[in-house]
Amino acid sequence: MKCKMKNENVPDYFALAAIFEGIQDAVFAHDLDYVISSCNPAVEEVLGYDPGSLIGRPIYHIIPEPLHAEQEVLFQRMLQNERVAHFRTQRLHANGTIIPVALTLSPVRDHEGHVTGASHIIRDISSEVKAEVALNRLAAIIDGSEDAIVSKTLEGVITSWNRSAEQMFGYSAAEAIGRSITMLIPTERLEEEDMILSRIRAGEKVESFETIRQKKNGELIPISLTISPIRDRQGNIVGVSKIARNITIKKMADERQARLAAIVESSDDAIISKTLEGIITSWNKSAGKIFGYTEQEAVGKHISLIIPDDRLEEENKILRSIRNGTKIDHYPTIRKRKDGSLVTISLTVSPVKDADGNIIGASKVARDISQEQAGNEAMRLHAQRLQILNTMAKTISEKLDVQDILQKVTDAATELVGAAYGAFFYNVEHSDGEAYMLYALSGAPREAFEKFGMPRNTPVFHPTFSGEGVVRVEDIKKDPRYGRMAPHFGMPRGHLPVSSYLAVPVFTGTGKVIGGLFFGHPEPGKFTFEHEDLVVNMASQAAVALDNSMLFEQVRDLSQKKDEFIALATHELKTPLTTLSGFLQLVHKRLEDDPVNRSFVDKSLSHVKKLTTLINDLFDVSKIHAGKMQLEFQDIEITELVKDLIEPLHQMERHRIHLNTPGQVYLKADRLRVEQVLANFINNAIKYSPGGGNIEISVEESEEEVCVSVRDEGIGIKQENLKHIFNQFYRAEGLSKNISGLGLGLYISKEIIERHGGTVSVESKEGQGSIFTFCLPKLPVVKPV
Amino acid sequence: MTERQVVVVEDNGDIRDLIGYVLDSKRYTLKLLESASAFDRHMAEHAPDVIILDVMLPDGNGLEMCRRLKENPLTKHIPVVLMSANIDEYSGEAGAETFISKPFDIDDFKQKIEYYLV
Repeated sequence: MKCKMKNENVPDYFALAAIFEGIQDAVFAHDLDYVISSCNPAVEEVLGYDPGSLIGRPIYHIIPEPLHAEQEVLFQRMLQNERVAHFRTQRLHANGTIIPVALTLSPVRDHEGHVTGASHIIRDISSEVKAEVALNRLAAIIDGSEDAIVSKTLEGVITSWNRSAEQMFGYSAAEAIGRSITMLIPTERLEEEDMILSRIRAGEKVESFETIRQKKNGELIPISLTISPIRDRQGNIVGVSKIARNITIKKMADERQARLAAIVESSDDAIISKTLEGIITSWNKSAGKIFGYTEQEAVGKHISLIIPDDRLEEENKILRSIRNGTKIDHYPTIRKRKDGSLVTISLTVSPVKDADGNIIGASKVARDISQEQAGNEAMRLHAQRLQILNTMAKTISEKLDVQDILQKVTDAATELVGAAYGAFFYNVEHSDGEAYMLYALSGAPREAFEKFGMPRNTPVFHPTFSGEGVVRVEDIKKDPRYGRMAPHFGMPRGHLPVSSYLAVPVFTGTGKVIGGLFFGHPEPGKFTFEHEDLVVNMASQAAVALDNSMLFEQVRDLSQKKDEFIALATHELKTPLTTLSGFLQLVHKRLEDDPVNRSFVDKSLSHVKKLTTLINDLFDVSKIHAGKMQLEFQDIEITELVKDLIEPLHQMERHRIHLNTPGQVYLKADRLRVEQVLANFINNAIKYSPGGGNIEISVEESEEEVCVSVRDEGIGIKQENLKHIFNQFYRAEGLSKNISGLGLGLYISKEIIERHGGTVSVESKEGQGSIFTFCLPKLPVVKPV
Repeated sequence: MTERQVVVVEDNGDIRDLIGYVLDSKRYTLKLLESASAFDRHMAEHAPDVIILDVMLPDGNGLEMCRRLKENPLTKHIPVVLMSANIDEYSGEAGAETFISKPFDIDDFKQKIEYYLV
């Protein structure tokens, strides 16, 4: 069924009717009461209604309720001659759905031109709207992408520019669209664009192309580009889409790695990585420098390439430690270079782990510590020198023998300067620069020198012997002073080979040259200023020691002369004493009937005895000092000896002498000397008990020793003086003038007993008396002096 | 029985005199000599019963003379008494029978000498 056109006054009606019938859009006409008066067949297609069913129905029948008011407004606008064309709205489909439509509203007029209604042309725009939504969604995606998404024509004119493009490059969409893409390309990369476009024109896609682009502010950014052709429906390439990803972060990681690689490469330390099996996997430049192998030579080889044979086990230990995850820190060891030479290194080995933390290998940092080692060596050498110097200084300050000192100084100095030979010529008395009487050698036997005689005052030796100064020569044979003297004109045949030469004069405290230190080495240039300095210092120390030694020898000579004098004096003094004593005794015998004169002679005799004792004591002390007191050991019986000694004393008026003894007691000792000690103890007992009293002599014997003590009831000794009592020249203070003596007796007694290997002791209480005891071992031990 | 003879060698004349007085005896002859050379001459013709030697003589050493006497089979049986101002000069090694230090007790001296004449 066909819609019937109401207005028949329109010219070419049939043509219009044909159009009306033929068009794809649904067309309605309604009167002023909105009642549908006619419709075309497309109504059915667009809205699903049978066209006949719609005639006579109000237009609202096909308008969704909420849009009724809109219809009224549109109608009014139409009446006011406003064009309402392609107005997007919605209509009700016969199936109840609402469909998007484009509405064009036109007035229907009668032949007088009055509006009698309106025609509606309704176009179904469902597919159009769908496409629009899809496009919007795409646009939203593009706008939301973190990648810059740009499209351009094949000529490079920008046609779209998303938000990320704005952020990434700094241009707004308005600024970018319509301009050439080349604004983003650094000048030196403009060719890139030609390449990209040519590939796109060929229909290729460019993926993950890493390049640099320039931001609006000139800043360069690394990007990764994915470029695809845009085709029209026919498949013609009409443009280019470009997705740019900012790869700054990735770039940074790459750079970091590159930087690390650069550090590894430029490090002075050898940096090597290896697998857990010891296969070298990387080898930096310094590794090449230190070990002599290039990267190509080393990588892939086993690490034992650089390990000396005797240290192969060390590598196993290192690998074991690494497998256990233990780092090795600054381990000093030795490695082998390509040329076979050895190098001292400090090794740090760390495990290399994969992302999961598994140990997959080892990194090895090796530092060449040869120089460090050399520094340590220098320090060690320095310490050693100090040690040698200290030892020498100590020895020579203790030694008093000239030859000893010469030898010590020569040995120490020869060692310190690293000389092959050293000699010390020492002029004991002469100062004419010719006669060097004493000498010490180091590094060569005495015979090596003896056949040449002493060095003479030649041009080479002159500066040393005259005290002009140090001579240090790289090669003495090339020195102008060398070889000028007859008969040898240089070194005598058979002389030790000398090139390096160092000679230092030795001065006394008064500046007199007393000798010279000479050093030689067969190779030239061995002695440095440092050596010279060392020897000069040693020479001055040696001079002091030699001075002391000379003084000591003088003193020793004097001391010897003194001892000889005292021995002679003793003899000379005793000869008249012997005569005096002997004749007085004869006179004494002849005065039996003259008690007064006899008592005078008695007094004289007792003083002769005292004088004898004093002289003996002086002589004994001199012998003790000289270490010349000789003991004559023999078997003696001590009780008998005591009895003989005290026998003449029984007639004393004020003292009574008692002897306690177990009987005969034998020992080996010097009879006269033991007698001397006993006499000294007994005489002291008498002398220091002026008020008289008992004197008790006790002999005691044990398995090891024999002790004899002498007890008196005399004045005693103050406690604080007891420790001095056996000292030389000690005499108790506050003694009455009647008690005379030199204070030598107990000192001599102590020396005699101690030389026998025995001991002396004293107990005393002031005012109550003293006990002096000596003990002698039964088997004498002769103590060396 | 032949007369006993005591020989004394002492360089100091006063001490020789003293010893002469001390050892004044009818029981033996006393020969006082002043030097080692005089002693040697005397010994060439006599065999004394006791010899007293001063250690320090101008022309000899008593210790050395004693040693020679003791080494000689003809004289080694003769008792020798050494005499010195210095007791350290006594040496058993010289082989002397005893030692007298100067100054001495005259009774002691006489007793020691005559001991060897019994």
